[in-house]
Amino acid sequence: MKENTATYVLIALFLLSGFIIKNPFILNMVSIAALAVIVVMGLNLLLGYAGQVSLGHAGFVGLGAYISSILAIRFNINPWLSILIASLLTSVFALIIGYPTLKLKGHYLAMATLAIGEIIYIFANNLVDLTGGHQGLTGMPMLSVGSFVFDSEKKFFFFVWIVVFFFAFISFRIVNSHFGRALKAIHEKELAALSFGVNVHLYKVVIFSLSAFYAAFAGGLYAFYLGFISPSSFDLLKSIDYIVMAFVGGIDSIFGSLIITVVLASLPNIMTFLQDYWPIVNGLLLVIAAMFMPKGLGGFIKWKRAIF
Amino acid sequence: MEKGDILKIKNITKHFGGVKAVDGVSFSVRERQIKALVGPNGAGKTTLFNIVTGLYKADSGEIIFKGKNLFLYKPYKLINLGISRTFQNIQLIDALTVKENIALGLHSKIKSNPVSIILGLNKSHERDVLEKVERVCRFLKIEDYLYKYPNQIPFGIKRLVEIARALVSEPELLLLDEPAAGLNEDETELLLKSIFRIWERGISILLIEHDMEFVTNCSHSIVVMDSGKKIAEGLPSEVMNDYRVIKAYMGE
Repeated sequence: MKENTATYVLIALFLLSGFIIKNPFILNMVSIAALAVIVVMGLNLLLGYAGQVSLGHAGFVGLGAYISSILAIRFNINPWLSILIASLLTSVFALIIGYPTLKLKGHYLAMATLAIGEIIYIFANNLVDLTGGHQGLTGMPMLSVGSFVFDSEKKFFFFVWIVVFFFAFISFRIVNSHFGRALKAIHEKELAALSFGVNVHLYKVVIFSLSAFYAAFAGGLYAFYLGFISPSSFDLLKSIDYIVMAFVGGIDSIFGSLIITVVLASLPNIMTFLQDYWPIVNGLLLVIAAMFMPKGLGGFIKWKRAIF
Repeated sequence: MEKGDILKIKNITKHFGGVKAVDGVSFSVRERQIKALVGPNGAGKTTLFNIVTGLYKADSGEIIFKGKNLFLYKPYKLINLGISRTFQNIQLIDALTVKENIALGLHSKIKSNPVSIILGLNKSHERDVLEKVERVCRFLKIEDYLYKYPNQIPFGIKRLVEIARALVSEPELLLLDEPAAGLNEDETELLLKSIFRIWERGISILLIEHDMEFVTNCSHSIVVMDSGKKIAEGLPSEVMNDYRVIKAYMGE
């Protein structure tokens, strides 16, 4: 089975599970995990295909969440439109900031993107009039289509997996096009890409911006679903969580990342006794993955399939 | 510009810190000529190559390709002008099949936008691409390897795949950076034949080479560099007997 087919089947299975699972706690948990899946898919494009790192992705999720919430609360703009505007604004922001930043490589790029995430976090904390500071922001209207309101965990669960499907679809279309080919070339052999007509810098910036769009869109949905956001949901630790999910899942495997992201995003809620120690568990998982499946779950599956 | 010259290298100089890697080198490649650039290690051949392909900036000098000043073009635009290259240390993409690697050579020819990518409207492009890739593979007799990955094919074939990738965009000038390095006798023989067949199609070739025997067998004209300077230029037979060339290669 091709990776895209396998991924669509997996998403369909998650969708169908919504008919079986009755427990709102689990539905809620998996919905939040699905939002993380969208962020990690965007990160996959950047990290796994273009080979550029971002330690500030939670910042983009935050931008999407805050901008869309503020638009809806302050300016009474329709929630859907708010999410769309916020996502577009965030990707334009990423385009502008990515232009100089993506001239950097390796550690320098990691540091610069980390700083971007931190700056967004600091703004969210300190622009108290707009964001409510560390106490957070609330009062977002519920998402609705006509008279149909997404007012239960179940309704949102179905909806968010359909959104995941759309983002997966876009990812696969990109990855399997000549654009995706160029991204892989940039990842491995930048000079070869350049020599065969790939505008390397432009492509990096475009994919950075697109992955910020993924993140911001997930952030917007998160804000309207929970009805409450605060800066701590978008801090550096969250950015690192996303990176860990992408790495353990396999940076260039959308399928592997999907599974691992759902697992890693849900585990802290199931193993509540670990609460404060979760970062340690997360770190351990990364180390174990790096030792036993250095290319993540996706790489592991490809390797197994090559053997049998 | 003298008629018949496809590439004119004029007085190129390049420093790295205090080292003069290329020092006032001038020569030209005529249309439908196989020109070889030879010289011992560190002579500045690859540096000069990288200047021609825009990866390095020269300190001074000019490079004219078909009347156009190459320094006015970004490196990724050169392929559109009709210049294509291979690399000394093979630069195939491990995550892509041979077919996809060669298709990368056509990247600049595919006109499309993000919307058509997402809607999947570029299928016809991909069919064209595949057709061209298959054609060039048949030409170089590597069609058996189309769906293999670079780490599954022999070294000699990798070199041919690199050449196929450079050739698929139908360039007018092909730059080969040490195409014979690391090849065994049979593979070298095959490469030699391939280079002639490429030349027969009307493509001008500039190649860097170490191996003097290979060069004398395949080129119409040779430029010899040593310590960044051009020390000789001419027919293979002339150059081989030049005192300075022998000195550069053999020592005093």
